[in-house]
Amino acid sequence: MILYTYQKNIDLQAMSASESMKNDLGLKILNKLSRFVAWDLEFDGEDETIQLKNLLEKSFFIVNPNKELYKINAIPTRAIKNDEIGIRVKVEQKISQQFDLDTLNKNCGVTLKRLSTFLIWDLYGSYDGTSSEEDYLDEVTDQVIITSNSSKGLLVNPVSERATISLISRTS
Amino acid sequence: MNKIKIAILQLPGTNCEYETKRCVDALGMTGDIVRWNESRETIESYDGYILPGGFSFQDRVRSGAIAAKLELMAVLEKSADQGKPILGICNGCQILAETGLVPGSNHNKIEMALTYNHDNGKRVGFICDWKYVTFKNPSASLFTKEFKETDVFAIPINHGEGCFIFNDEYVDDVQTLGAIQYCTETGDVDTSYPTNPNGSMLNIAGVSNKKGNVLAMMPHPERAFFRKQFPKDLEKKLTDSKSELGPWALLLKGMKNYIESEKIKKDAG
Repeated sequence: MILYTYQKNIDLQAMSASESMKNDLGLKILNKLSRFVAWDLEFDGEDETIQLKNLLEKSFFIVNPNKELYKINAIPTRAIKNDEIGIRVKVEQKISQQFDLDTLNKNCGVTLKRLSTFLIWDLYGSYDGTSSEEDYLDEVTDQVIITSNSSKGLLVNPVSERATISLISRTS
Repeated sequence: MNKIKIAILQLPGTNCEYETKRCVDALGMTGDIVRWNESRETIESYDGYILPGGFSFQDRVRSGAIAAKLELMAVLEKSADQGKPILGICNGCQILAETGLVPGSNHNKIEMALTYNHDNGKRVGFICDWKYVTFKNPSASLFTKEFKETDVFAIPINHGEGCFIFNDEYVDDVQTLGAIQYCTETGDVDTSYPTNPNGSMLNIAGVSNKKGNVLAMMPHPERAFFRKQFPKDLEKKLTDSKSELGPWALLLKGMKNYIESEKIKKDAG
């Protein structure tokens, strides 16, 4: 299962990224930027939901309920307006990071078999229909997503990270 | 000759600017703490630049990523082209990597990254420790010119994202640059943890650009600049017992010598 966590109130990371994209990288069309930390979990045994409940209640490692919310297997999206395009960026570290599962299992009384994490950025930008959606996607990718130098790209460092970029479906 | 002026660039979240200034001043240069949003003219008026350690913009998105997009970086890119020295320490190192100024072999295109500390993929978290380092091609960088390849010195590290990784096609190039490498107390560049504390490729702790005037390093030389900053067991191993300065003063001495020689050339020509 995948747990998508996000801030209850202001997400300062998304706010800074958004300001930098608009003011430093010139992406004036940006309407909204959201950020989700995704946790891909696999438990040993069939009682996954109970194990997840235990994990979340006994440790703040994955979700801090004082400031974060979460959804299971679904990213909370907003409705895309007619004059908008939504772009989803999935960012993974190229060097896979192993977590100390033994400690988590011991402290939370669960049997986690696998735990990995990745980031999701959802961008919503104004779209006037003068270019195709694919061209729009390529342009935004070049301008603010994949970092190539000090004036282009922000969300992904192509040396250390791997990105999957797609359009968010209007029906989702 | 006018006194050498070094800008110690203060971004929101920088926290090592005052001790860095003390080091610059101790060598007879003038260290000014200059805010990131100062005018271009003011920033351009300096002879050299230091991006000190800290957590610029709270490390949001990635360490150094937001700072790398500031107009300040365009000024630094121009200054680097002009041959002015630029030193990035810890967060400053991460900013230089995100800017593409180091190794900078392809018109400041991003060629390296600083990522999470790890031991063969297992996260080792934030590290605060003293580590030994040695020098590779020290004459290739104006900052490491005063050191010898056989030198081994202790230096503090303090980071969570200090693992240097390079694009595969640049790894051979990187080996020709001036570099600082993690090693054992005897100078053995042992690639295993904890000699290499963060999983850096080639045990890199710091690396210069091709021209040799920009150095990005994760360890903190300003915390090992004066003898008195060394823990007693490490201080005993320092050879020059009379000097108040520790071995890392040589790094800024290299910067000072270079600026002085450039000024003499300029005055003569």
